[in-house]
Amino acid sequence: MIELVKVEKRYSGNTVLDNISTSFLTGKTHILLGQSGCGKSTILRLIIGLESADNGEIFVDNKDVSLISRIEISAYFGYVIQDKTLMPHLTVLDNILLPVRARKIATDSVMEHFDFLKKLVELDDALEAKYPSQLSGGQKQKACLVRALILNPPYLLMDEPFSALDPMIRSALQVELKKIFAELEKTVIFVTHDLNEASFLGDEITLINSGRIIQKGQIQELKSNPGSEFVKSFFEAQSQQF
Amino acid sequence: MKTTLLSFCILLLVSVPQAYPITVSSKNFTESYILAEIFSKKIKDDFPEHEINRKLGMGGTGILFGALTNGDIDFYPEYTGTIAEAILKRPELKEISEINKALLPLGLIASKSLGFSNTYAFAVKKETAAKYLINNISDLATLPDLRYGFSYEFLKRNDGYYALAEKYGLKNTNVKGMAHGLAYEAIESGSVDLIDVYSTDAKIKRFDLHILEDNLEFFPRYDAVILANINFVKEYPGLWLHLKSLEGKINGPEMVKLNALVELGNYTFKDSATSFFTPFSATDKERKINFGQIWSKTREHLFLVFVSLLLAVVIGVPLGYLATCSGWLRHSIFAVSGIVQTIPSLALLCFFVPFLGIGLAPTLTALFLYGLLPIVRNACIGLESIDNKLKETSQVLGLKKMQSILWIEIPLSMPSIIAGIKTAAVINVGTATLAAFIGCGGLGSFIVTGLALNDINTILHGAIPAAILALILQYLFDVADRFLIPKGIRS
Repeated sequence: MIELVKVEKRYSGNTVLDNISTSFLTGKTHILLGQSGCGKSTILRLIIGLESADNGEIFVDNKDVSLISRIEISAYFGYVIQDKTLMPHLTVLDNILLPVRARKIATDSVMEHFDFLKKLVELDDALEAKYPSQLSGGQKQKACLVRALILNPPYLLMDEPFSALDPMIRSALQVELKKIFAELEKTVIFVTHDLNEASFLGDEITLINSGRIIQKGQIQELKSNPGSEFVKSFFEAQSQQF
Repeated sequence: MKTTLLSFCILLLVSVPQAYPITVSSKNFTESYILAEIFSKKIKDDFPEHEINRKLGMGGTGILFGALTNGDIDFYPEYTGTIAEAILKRPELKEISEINKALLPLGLIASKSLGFSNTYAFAVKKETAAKYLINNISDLATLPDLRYGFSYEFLKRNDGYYALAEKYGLKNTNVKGMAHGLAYEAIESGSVDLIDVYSTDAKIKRFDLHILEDNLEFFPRYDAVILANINFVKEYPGLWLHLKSLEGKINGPEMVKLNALVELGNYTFKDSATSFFTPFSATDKERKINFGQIWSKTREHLFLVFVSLLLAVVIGVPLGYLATCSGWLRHSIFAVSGIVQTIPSLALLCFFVPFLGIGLAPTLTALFLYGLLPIVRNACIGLESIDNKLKETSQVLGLKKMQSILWIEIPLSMPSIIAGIKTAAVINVGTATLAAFIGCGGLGSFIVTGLALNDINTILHGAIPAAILALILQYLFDVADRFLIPKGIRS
């Protein structure tokens, strides 16, 4: 379980996260939903140790993340974001094995899991020897996902992983991803601004606005029983797009 | 009997078993080269057990003075006027005994005059001298109609023609200013009767001119002497005595003849020095390209370039990384390496002579410093241009700091780092030619000798291979790009 207790974060005086307290239960897919700039990505960055909170505490499996080393934190998480994060000078295979080699683990020992993941995400074997610049956007994100999962971490954090892809590929990947989540039974925190994506993938949705949690619950609950005017208008605005 | 005894004593004195190599040096002009060759031949012929190191053609009085005081060289030919003015800064010192008194605290000693002075002198054609019975400058006072052709510098100097005319009471009004290079042709063609020359110019012999005696001693004395480190003299008193036997042995016309052999007859400095001991009838020689010599100098040159480059890479890339770590560190690293870059290369080389002596150490240090800026700057720019998302990713994937630097950041900035190394290599090929000025060889040796001889041919012996070397290096680096820049980011 991941737990945030009264977490605050400011960037040069501007409050990005304001007194956030929440928890993400093991084994579920959690969605952080909100408009861009609402602070949802910052929550992931704080959990994974890329930034530290100005106030409050974050616990992963009851361990305070501010007290453990960044390397140790990284072992808990797979992390996939929207931007290109495959190392351009390494082949797909070398990219995927990077976390394995960094920990001086024998690559043979992960090969079985690697094959399983490749099949799961439908990553073509022929791509292993290619460089990131030779891959399509969807193939890159698949490779990133395999890399994030190669050491079988208990948590998978995803920050709008498909938002840079075109809509057709995006919805195909969403279907695949749902299958993968079901298969792996990992604890997932998925950040998105897209209500459809959120309702398609998530068990539990946390709606965030201006650094605060507005409402938390299942998608139907939020829709049928909006806790505030903002929740109502957010849902209305998003459904008008379709 | 006396001489035999003296020779015997000398032999006893110099036959110390653990002879360390004796280093003779010279400045980078013909006369200095020839004198140094005469000194080394003098020792080599009579005391062959001594190894002699010849570091000839050094870049100036300052370098030689530094090298002599710290014992990098043992002796070299110098002129009393230069010692008094440039080394001791006491131009009033004229006599060798006064000069030696002032040199003693510096640990240096000078021999007596070798027999000639290289200073301004007046020259006339031999026929003119015979016709008007002119032997010394005083004789000119009675000949107000002679046509004078003087170099602009000699006309302009405070201690130049007008001061001399006053001292000697000359009343000539027919005085023409001309470029020094044209003066010999002017007197040859008869358009002037008298010119100013340097008293040992090779062309005095070529144009068969008569030098007038400076009987009132107007011109400052630039007597050629041997300037030596006192430790050498103490260690090898016999050798020093042997060298001092050259005192008074080389007169002005003799020196002119030796200079002419090299500058006009295309003989080597060594040939000219040999002819001092065993005169031969000289006919002008054709200078040939010595490919063996070019190759050996090229190897020296490559050694200088690569060792300094290697140092610059080993130190420069980590410095470039440090520069990315904090603002003030970046500013100080760039400021210091930038300042070094603005110091003229020869000045930088000379700057190290007092601390590091001459030869390899100061040369490599200077070349290393020159190579540093492009390498540091390019490494820093390359490292800074890496997308921050990639650095974060390597952290998230569990890479340790050093793994991230070696596996991710350095390979990603490789194109920029290589470009910096390429620039440094080409700069160093050029700058290394100056190594010859502080006795470190390389292709610059040809350039320095060629400059001394005013011989384009010899200069090109050094300049062309250096240019070709720069091109080859550039090409090799282009090839190396293919191996050093990871495939995924190659353009």
